[in-house]
Amino acid sequence: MDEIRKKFATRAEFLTIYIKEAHPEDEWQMTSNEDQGVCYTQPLTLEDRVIIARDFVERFDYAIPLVIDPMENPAEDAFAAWPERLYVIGVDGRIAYKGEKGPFGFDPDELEAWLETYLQARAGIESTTLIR
Amino acid sequence: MIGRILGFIVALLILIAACAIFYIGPRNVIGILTYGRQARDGNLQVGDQTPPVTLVALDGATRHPLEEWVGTRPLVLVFGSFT
Repeated sequence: MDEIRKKFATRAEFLTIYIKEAHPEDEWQMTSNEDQGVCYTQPLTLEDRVIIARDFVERFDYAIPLVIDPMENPAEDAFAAWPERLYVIGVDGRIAYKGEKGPFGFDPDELEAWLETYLQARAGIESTTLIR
Repeated sequence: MIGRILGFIVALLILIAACAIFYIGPRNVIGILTYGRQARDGNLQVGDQTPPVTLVALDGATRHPLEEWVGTRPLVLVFGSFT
């Protein structure tokens, strides 16, 4: 995702919303996570969720700004975002792109292609407005 | 004869299922079964107003309405977790 962020850095904002764990060890632990030492139980407190989010940022030197969904999961609930999902919100505050639900529908390549088209069209509209 | 064969097949399937549960781990079996139900399509559609949600900064204390990021440039939202 960071490559996509860099590519569109001057034309779009990027924000990560950290939601409840997809594969905690007390639900469905993935072998791949075990191999990489990513072993966490599902957080029961905001403090625990924050700790895991910080671990994630530090481990990957994660450059995209990141905020955390509170324990009531309002963002995850409103966006049906679990376990992972991509959205784009237009400058008018409306949903412009809704990716398919993860994990299989989580498709950065599709987002990248969509962004390219969307931002080009947007630039065309803006330049037309400026000429007028 | 057919009954015996069917009984044998059922017993074999139960044995395979038991071995699979033992191998995967009972807790993971429950996780696998509930995983599909947790992932939802959701009602939000393209063109809908962005839901007004408030999020927590990495300091664990500061709260930010999502709308703080909306309005200047298109905003890409990446939802996910570590695991």
